[in-house]
Amino acid sequence: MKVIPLFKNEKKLIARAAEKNRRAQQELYKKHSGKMLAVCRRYIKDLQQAEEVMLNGFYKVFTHLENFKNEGSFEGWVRRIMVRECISYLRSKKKMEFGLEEIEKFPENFTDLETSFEVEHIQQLIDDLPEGYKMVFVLYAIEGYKHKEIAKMLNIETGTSKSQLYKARQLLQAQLKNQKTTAYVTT
Amino acid sequence: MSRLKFETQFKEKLEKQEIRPSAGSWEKLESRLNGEDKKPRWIWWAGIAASVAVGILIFSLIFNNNPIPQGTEIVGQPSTIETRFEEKETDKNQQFVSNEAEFITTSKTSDEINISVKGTKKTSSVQAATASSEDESLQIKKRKQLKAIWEERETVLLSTEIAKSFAGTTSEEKIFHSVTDAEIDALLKQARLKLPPHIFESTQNQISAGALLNGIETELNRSFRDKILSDLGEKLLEFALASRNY
Repeated sequence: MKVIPLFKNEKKLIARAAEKNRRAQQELYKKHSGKMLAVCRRYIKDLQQAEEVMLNGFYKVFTHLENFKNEGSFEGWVRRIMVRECISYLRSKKKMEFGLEEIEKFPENFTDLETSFEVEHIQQLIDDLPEGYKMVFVLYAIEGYKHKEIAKMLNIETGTSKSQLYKARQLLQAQLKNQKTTAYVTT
Repeated sequence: MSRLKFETQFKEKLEKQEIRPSAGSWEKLESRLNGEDKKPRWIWWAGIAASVAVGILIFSLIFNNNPIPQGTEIVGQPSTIETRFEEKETDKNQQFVSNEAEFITTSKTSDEINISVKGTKKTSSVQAATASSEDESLQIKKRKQLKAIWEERETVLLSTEIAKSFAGTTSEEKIFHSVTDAEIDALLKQARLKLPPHIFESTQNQISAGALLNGIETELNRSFRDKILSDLGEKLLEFALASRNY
């Protein structure tokens, strides 16, 4: 795989797309839409709704492409836009509810399990979580955001973000145990 | 809080996941983008229209507030245009009457009125000027016009003893050679005396432009011979009167 030419090509592609070149925009869409739909799907259970939110995200990407300064990866920039769109959508549907209790220090009694679940199974496990738990869990564990960043994005306290993650982990672990994983290691 | 093992595994598997969008998703996005591209143009055109309207409004306000200054003559108009031009607080009160045949100035410095008359072949192009430049242009115009008039009359006057006697006077001789301002004023004074009284408006001691014009037109319409004869006759009488009065 030729990395350097690809990078150069994407840079040119982004530049042309910023000039409202429809062909270039379509190329970028084709290249990144698969991953971005998967990102949206993590937050939004309904695939059709997830696609709608993804299109909203790409609309903002192409109308604000001049704001991308080539300082980081283009995919990372697009991903952040998608996450914000998902949060806005769930907020508008009033699907996100966070518990008021805050826990600063959590007991470290989780059984660190190993899984060999397929993606669809993992996704199903996540879908079964309450919206608030799911949102924080995905942002922290999958997207890699810190609690401070999550708290700012969701307009909650840092302690609330931690407690939501804690509860999400508890539920997931219970699920995993119930489904009889093949191997586990105790901490 | 560090990431748990299963979380790391979830992350690794989900990060590689790709879900293909539905078939018409790009077309949907494209139509939205096309709608967005059209909007700025409309706004752009609306902005241009608004600025043009504002520009027209400003121009109309400017032109309405700055009318054409009085005293400006429009060249070429057949009808009589009479404008008053008031200088700054000097004793002079000049009235311009301009048409194709006349140029008359009046001065209040004395009871006498200085008059100059020019032919219809010449066009007048008097414009409102400042007090300082106006005197100069007036003097030049007076000089030119008087010279033209006296040149015209020269052919009549020089053929007789009366013309010789006219030409013999010091002031009249100088006209043909070098005309000074004082001499022009003196000649104008004489001309004033020669004009028939009926052309003067009795109330304001100003010359009636219409009457003077009529007189000049009448004069110009006469034949050359008649003119010579009548002038000779008139000049004889006038000279006699002038000589008597001096």
